[in-house]
Amino acid sequence: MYLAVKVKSDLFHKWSLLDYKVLAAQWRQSSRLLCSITHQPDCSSAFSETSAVSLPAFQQSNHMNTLSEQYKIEAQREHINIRSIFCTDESDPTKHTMAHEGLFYRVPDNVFNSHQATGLRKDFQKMLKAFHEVCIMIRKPALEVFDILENVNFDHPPAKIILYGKDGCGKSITLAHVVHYCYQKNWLIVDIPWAGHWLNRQVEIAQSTHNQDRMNFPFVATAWLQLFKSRNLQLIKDLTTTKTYVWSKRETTEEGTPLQELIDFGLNRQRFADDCIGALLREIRIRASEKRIKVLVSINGLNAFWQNTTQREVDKQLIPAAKLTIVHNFKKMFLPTWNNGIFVGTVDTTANSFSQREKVTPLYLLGKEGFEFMDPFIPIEVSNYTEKEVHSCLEYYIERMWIQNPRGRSDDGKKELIFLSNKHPYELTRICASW
Amino acid sequence: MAHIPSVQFLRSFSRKPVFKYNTWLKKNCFHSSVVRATAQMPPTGVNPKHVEKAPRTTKSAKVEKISRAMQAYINKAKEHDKMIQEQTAEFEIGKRHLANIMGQDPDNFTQEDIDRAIQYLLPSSLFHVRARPLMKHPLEIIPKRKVPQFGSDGKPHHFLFYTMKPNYYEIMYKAAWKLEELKKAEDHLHQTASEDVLNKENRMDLKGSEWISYKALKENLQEKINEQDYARLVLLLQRIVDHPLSKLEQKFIMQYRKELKPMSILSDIPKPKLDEEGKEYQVGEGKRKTAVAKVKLWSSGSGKISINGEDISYFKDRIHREQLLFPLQVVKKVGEVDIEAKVQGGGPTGQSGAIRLAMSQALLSFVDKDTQDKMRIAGLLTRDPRRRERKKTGQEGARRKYTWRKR
Repeated sequence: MYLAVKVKSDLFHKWSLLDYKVLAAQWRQSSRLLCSITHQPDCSSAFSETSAVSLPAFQQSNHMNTLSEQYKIEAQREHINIRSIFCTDESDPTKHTMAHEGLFYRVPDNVFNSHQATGLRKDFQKMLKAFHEVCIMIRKPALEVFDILENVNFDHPPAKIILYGKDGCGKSITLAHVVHYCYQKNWLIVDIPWAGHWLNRQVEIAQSTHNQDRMNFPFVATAWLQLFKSRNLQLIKDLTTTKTYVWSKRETTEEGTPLQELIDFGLNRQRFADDCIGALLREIRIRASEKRIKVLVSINGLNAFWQNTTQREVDKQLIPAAKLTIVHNFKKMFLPTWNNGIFVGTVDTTANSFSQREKVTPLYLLGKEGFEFMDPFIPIEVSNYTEKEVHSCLEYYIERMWIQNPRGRSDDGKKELIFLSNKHPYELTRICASW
Repeated sequence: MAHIPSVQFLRSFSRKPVFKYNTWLKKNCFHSSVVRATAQMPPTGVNPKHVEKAPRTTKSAKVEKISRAMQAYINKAKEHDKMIQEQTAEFEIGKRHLANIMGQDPDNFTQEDIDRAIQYLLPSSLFHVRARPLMKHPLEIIPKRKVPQFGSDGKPHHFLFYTMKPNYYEIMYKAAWKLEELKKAEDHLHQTASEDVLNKENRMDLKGSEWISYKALKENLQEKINEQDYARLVLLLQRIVDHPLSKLEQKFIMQYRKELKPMSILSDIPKPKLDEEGKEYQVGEGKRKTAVAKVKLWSSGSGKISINGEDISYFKDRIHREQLLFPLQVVKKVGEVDIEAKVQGGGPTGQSGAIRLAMSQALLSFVDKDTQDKMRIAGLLTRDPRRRERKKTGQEGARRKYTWRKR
């Protein structure tokens, strides 16, 4: 028992696979020993001695009658032990440090559903359903972002962090981790779960009432307003507008109106929803500069802003994303006109058109125009798993029964899985799914 | 080759003294018309120019008699010899011309030089090598002639000549009699010897050999036999083999069996080499379809893989990565060896297969004998001979037909 406690405490400081294996083997041995001891009535004194150290409640019921019961308890015991190897109890991302690198942490279901679920790919969400819990691995890129968030000077214009990397390496999940971090710190989250989604859908388009050159996506805009409202209602409760907005001859939003009413207006009057977003973002920038709130702008698939939409204009030309009112409004968040905010986003090949997916670097994906617009920014690469991460991940999959084949659970099987997947996170899940 | 007559002769036949025998006229022989050649009376129905005058042995009117069929053979053989001579002379001149064209010494112009010159002067894009232009000595190109099957009297040498396949039927004949003799011997033993003698193992052991192939038999016999003939022979020989006393005829049977040689793949495995850093490595080469791979494999590594400078993500599909995994799985060295592969040609299937073969070859140097056998049995050391099947005319692909349309 002492050994188990030691394993757990050690792990927070120094995570080493080799150590773990040795210790886990020892632990398993000792636990079996304990089980056999409990079965012998004359050795009960020995058991009571060991149990004095620290025993979970279920272990103290020492009247084990059947073999299956015995197995059950041992399995339960091992389950708890092994889980501590790849999982941390620390579910508050603000307290994650390098000591937690490679470990999974449990995301509370309400946070996941409200803040993270929309941006993640379908098959990942299916997998989470099979797992019956949401666990995200604490990885180095996320920790780097946290480090920046803690040390950046918020009096300066917002810093821009761009995550990049191969498809399926975990950019979106890293972003979800960052969003959780900011949620925990009570920041306002201005979030586009997947920017590519705006462009690739066939929805109604309309000409902007404010500027004849721009196009509106009323449905997209209202959907976003709804999302924003559901996430940040508590934080914008006290904020009011700083200016009177005249929408038409009859409709105006007076100065001093709560932002919630501004949002509701946008939701009710779809025609002005796009421009309403512009007004909302403007108010957020002003309030942030006044230090009333801290803002995280997070955009998944940022490079879509410099792509063409799939819709065509009257002259059959594809509408460039820059012509959209919402894109135009969001681009203003990157300008150095405000402070007390930060931008974290990803660039992704899948947000680009099919002909422009050769490389994964920000320069290639954003294009010259986009790169110059975003410059200067901090690029952070999200790459394949490290040796430690991949083993942690495999252990987790085994524990969650994602890997069921006995060979897949053996050491040889793990080596083969690593070989086949090349430690690529998404490929690993797919390959493990068939094991 | 159109000038070659369908009946074949021996070239050198005309040099042999053939006119010494057979003065006796064979009247009753229906299969060969025999000619009486006399000085006074030339044979009717035969052009006297074609019939050589028989040398006279005596002063008397006694003359040599020679069958007409034989005479025809002789003439044809002479023609053939002449033709070969002309062709050879032409070839020699042509060779010298070719050497001059190529600006080389005509006296020391070898066949290899000719081949090279032809390939250079008459480049051909035809796929099959045998369909491309060539220039060779006539003796190599023109088929050799068969020894005549009968003497100058027109009488066949072989007693089974009229079966059309004398050599084949001779074996069948012999085998049948041998089987009968074995049966007799068995009967005899039953009557005379005790049970023990019969129970003694007198049966042949066929281990380590197999029947010679149909092709090989055809080659040996120099006759047109078909597959049924071959099957019948094997059946008859098998009956002898199955006989309890078959050991008596072992020598006869073994003429028609081929010994199986042990596999030579594992015979000479090179020892590992050392690189500049003192690490042991081995190289291997492999091919599959049109892909060619060269692999350098370090025995003590950390599972690092480089394929044309990329890691294993060079292969996008899992099925191709599994190809690389397989040899490592067999030798139980997953994640323990470093691999550097260079692969050219073909698609991912061919390339991964080629790397697999090359890796397996390189791995041989680092594993024990048992594992080597295991690798051989797993098929890791054999080149996959399959190729892309050609498209057929009138079909959409190799096998697929065009969609049927009701006009």
